[in-house]
Amino acid sequence: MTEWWTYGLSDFLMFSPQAYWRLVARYNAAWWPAQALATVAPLALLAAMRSRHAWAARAGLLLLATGWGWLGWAFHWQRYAEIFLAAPWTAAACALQALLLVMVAALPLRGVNRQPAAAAWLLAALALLYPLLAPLTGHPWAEAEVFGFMPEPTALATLGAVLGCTRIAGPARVLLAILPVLSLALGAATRVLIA
Amino acid sequence: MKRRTFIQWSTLAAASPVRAQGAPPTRPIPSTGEAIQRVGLGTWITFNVGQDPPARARCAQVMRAFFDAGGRLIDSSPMYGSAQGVIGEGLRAAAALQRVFSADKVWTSSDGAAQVEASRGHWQLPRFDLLQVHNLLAWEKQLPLLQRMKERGQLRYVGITTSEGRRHREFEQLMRGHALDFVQFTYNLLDREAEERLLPLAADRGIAVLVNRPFQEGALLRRLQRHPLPAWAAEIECTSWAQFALKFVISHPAVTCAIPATRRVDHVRENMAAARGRMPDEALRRRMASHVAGL
Repeated sequence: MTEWWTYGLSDFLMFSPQAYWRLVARYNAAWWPAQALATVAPLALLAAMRSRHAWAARAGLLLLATGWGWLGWAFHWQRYAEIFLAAPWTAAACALQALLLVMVAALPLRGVNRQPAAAAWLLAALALLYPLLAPLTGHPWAEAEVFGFMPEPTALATLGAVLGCTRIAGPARVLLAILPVLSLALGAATRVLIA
Repeated sequence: MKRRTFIQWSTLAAASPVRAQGAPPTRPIPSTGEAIQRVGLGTWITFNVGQDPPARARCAQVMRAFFDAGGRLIDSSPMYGSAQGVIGEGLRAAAALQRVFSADKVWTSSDGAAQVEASRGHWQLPRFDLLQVHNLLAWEKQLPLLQRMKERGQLRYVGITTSEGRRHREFEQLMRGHALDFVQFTYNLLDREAEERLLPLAADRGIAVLVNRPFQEGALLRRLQRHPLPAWAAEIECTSWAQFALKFVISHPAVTCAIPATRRVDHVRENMAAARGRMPDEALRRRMASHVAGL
């Protein structure tokens, strides 16, 4: 394929904005009111980050793993694959992220948890407030994006937790941040294209 | 222009009535002489609506309007997500399994036969009319496969596709070196590179031409709609920029059929209407292109 340079970002968009947002609305409707519970998950993560107990950090990591596992299966595999041919791959990436989180939760953690950095609080707050983006951008609540159900708030919450939980060793934190960063990049590109 | 090419183009042009009444005007497929309507239906993006029942029903309505207006050729690909299944559902809803001219593609570097079979299952047809190697992907492997299928009667026509001006040199070589019934590439008021070599070569070699992206996936129309339609567009009975753009494409003597995609019934009717009425002659085609380039 010597002609890759001739492709623009828009050439990879294979669905219309209407098809995408209808899919999100149908997906949300199928699982409502589970989203109401998931909305407060970033708060639980904030509490885990602040806790002096190692078990709380492990619980936070397992909560994130659950979120990524659910996101991969319920959104990417079950829904997004209807209109996006690469969705099985993004579902696999979510499964990998869940596995990494479980592995890190099982490893020995550092003894001391320092106060989370401001950036960690900011990312967690963004994840918490992310569902508000729907009404703020003219979309109905039915299309709101919630932690564990949609990629961006899940990735933001993960980055906030990984950055904030200093019990996790540096290399493991970097490893846990790779897929969320890629997920945010893919999400931003999709959002620009369907705007 | 070669004399042979001129004669072929003249013959092709003469095959289409200038002012059509009743059934929509057609052009012959050079390899068989079978008549095909000059406007088809593309499905890239527009028919990839997933399992959403209302959206699938809207696509079925678009297909029904397309058939009601005399359309036949629908084009899709395994690359178009859920579009093939949506087409299959629409064909059954419109009771158009006998009427449709089914054009699909093979888009894989692995098992092309298995992919074709999966596509056929989505369309729910006994066989495809036309199969094309999508964007020349693994054409060395897939083109012989399609030729064998045609020889066995599992397929009526064989073609290749590209879009947005990619790989025209290689495309041209394949047109020269292989027995092709159809080629598909991009051609519109702004993307006119095909006029230089591909369109004359298709006429010269007796290959039918499907034109994709006649509206540049809507970008051309969004640009044009900021300006008023010129008064002289009435000379060729255009009532919209879409018809203006479509008449430009299908009036090229070497173009067999354009395949605009839409998700709206009013748009499909407007597109089908563009195939009727007066068509621009060469002088007017030049004026159309020059006018749009100047906007």
